Amino acid sequence: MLKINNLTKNFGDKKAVDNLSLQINSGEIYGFIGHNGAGKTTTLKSAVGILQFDEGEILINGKSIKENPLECKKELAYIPDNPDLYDFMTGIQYLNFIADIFEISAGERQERIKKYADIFSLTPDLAESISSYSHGMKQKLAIISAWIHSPKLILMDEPFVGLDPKASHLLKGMMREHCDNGGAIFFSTHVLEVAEKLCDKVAIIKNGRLIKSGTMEEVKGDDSLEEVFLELEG
Amino acid sequence: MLKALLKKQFIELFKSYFVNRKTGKARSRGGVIGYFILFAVLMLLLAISFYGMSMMLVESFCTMELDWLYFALIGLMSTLLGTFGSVFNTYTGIYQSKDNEMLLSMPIKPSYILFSRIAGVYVLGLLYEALMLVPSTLCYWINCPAITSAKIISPIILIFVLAFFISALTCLLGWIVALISGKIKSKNKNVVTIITSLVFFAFYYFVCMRFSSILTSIVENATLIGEKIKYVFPAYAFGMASIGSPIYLLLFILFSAVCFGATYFVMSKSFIKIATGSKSAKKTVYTEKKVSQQSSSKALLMKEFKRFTSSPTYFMNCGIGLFIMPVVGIIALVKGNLIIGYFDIIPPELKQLLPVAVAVTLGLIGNLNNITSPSISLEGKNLWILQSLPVDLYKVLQSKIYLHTYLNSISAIISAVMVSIAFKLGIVDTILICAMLYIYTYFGGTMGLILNLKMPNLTWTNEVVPIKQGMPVMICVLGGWFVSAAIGGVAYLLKDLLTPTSYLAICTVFFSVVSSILDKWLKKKGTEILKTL
Repeated sequence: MLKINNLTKNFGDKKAVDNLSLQINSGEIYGFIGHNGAGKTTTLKSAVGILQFDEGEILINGKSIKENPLECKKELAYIPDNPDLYDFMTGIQYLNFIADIFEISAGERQERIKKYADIFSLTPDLAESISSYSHGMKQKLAIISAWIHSPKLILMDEPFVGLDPKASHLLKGMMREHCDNGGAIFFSTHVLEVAEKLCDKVAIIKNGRLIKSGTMEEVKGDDSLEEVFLELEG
Repeated sequence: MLKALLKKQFIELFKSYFVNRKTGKARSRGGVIGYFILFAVLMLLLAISFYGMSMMLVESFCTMELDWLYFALIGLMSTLLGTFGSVFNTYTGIYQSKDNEMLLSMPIKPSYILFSRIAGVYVLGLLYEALMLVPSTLCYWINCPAITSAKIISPIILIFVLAFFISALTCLLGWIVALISGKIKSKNKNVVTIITSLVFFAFYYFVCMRFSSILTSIVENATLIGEKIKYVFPAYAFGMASIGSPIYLLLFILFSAVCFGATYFVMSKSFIKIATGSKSAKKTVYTEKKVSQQSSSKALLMKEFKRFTSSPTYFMNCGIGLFIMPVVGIIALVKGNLIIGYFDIIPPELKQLLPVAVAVTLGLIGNLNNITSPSISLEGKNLWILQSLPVDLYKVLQSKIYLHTYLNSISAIISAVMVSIAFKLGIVDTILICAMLYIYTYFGGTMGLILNLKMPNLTWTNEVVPIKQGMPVMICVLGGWFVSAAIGGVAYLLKDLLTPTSYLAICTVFFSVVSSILDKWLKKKGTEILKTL
C-alpha cells in the first residue's frame, strides 16, 4: 500500500530523514515512534506530498507521489499533528468541501457524515463555526474528514492528542475496522502503550534514521515497547 | 497589587511603541523614537485640522457672546470622538482580554482588575478627547478677547474631568456591545461587524462631504441651537464651566463623578459573568439538510468566497471598492446632468476622452479591491489542506483569481453601465469600457496573486498583518493606481492618433495578452511555488 524507498530529506544542512525505507501493507496498522524532532512528521508529510523530498521514492499502491501526486492523494487521507482547519467554515461546510474535492456523491457523504459524526457525538455541533471548536472537536472533525472518502491509506500524526478517552477508544476501533477491511494506517505516536496494543508493526526512528522496524513481536520480543524504545534511544 | 495591575495595563496599552507586533521583538532606541515622532506628527496634523475647524466657529460665537455654546459644541464633538474612538478597544480590552481568566484565577479582587482596565479606557479616551479639546481651547484663548484666569484654568481642569464622563459612556457602550455580542450567534458576528462598519463608513463619508455646510449651518443658527442646548444639562454645564463659571464647574465635576461611579458599580456587578461567559451565545444545532455535490472548482471558489466574507478585516480592507463603485454609478445617475454641466469648462480635446476617463476612474476605484494579494498568505497554517488534497494547484490559484474577477467585474460593470447612461455614452464605448474593466480586473487579480506567491507570509498570528501590512497588498494598490494613471496618460498623448473607442479596444487586447502570459506563468511556476511553500 505504501512503500518508502531510501527517503532522504534535508532542511539546509540538517538531514531530517536519512535514507529511510519502509513498507506498509494492506490490513496493517503501522506505528511510527521516535523522539521529538526524529523525523516522523517529515516522513509523513513527504508521503502525503506536502513536503518535497531530496532523494528516494515514495509509492502509494505502486504510483509515485512525485510523478502522480493527484492519483496518489485520491487514495489517501492525512491528519496532521495540529488540526488547523478552516476556521471560517462551519463543521458541515468543511466536511462538504472535502467531500466535493474527493467527488463523493451527495447520498454517500450524508450517510458517512451521519455515521462518523454520530460516533464522535459531533453531530449537534456541525452547524457551528470551526473557530468555536475545542482542540478535541477539531481533531474529531479532521478524523471524520479523513474517513469521509473511504481512503485506502490513512496517515496520521499524533492522532490521539486532544481526544477524550472515549473518542480515543472509538478511534482505535475505527482504525482496526479500517485495516480489517483491507485498508492500511501509518501513524506516529508518543503513547507507547497505545502503539503496543494497537499496532501490527512498528518502526522506531532516531535522528532521521530508521533504527528498528518489523512486527510488534520482532521489535519488542519479551520486553515492553517502552523498554525497547528507551534502550534504543539511549 | 493595584499598582502592578495598572503597570501591566499601561505596558499593554503602549506596547506597540516599544515592541514590534509583527516580530514580537523589542524595538531599537531609534525605532522607539521614530515611532513616537510618527505618532506625534500624526497627532499634530489632526490637532491642526481641529484647530482649523475651531477657527470657523470661534469668531462668530465670540461676537455673538455665545462662548459657552462654542465650548458646549466642542465638548460634544470631543465626547463623540473620545467615545467612538475607544469603544471597540473598550469592549475587547475589558471583556475579551486574553488574561482575564488568568487574572481572575489569582487572588485579586475582580473590582481591581476592572479598575485597571477602566484606567486604560480613561487614558485612551483622554487622548482622543484632548486631540480636539486642546487645539479648540487654544484657538479660543488666541482668538477671543477678555481672557480671564478662570477661562484658562477651567478648560484645563475640564480636559481631565470630561475624560471621566467619556470613560463612563465608553464603558457603558462597551458593556452593551458585550451583552449584544453574547447574544449573537458566533457565525453571524462577522456579518453584523461588516454591516456596522459599512454603516459607520457611509455615515463618516456623509459627514465629511457635508462638513462645511454643517458648520455653516451651526454658525447661522447659533442662537436657536443655544436655546435648545440650554436644556441639555451636561453640554450647558460644560460650556458654562469652560468660560469660568465655578458653580457649573463643580456641577460638571459632580455629574462626571456620578456617571463614572454608577457605571463602575454596574460593571463590577456583571464583570465576571460577562468576561467569562462570552462563549455562552446560543448554539446553532445542526439539522441535516439535503446537499448537492459540487465540482472541485466550484468548491474551491466557494471556499474562497467564504474566506473573504467571513473576515471583516479582509472584506473591508480588500473589498471596500466593491461598494464604492456602484455608489459612484448611482451618484452619476442622480447628479448626471449637473456633472455634464461641468464638462463645458473642459477643453474639447479632453472631453472626447470621456470613455477612457470613465474606465480609468472605475479602474482606480477597483484598485482598492485586492482580494488575491493577501490570499496565499491567508492560507497560513491551513495550507496543508490544499497541499494534501487531490486537487490541481492551478485550480486553487484560479479560484482565487476568479473570486477577485467575478466580484470586482460585477461591481465595475454595474457602475460602468450606470455612468455610461448618465453621461450618454454610445453602446460600443459602454461595451468596451465593460470589457476593458473585466480584463483589467483579471490582470489585477493575477498580478496580486503572483506578488503574494513571491512574497508570502504564512507565519502570521493576526490576519491584519498580511492584509494591512503585506508588501503584495501595498504594491498592488500603488502599482494599480500607477497603471490606471498611465492608461489615462497614454490616452492623452495618443489622443490625436487614436479615437477613445480604438484606444479602449487596444487596451483590452493588451491586458488580455499580458494576463494570458501571467496565467501561463502561474500554471507552470506558480503551482511549483505553492507546492513548496
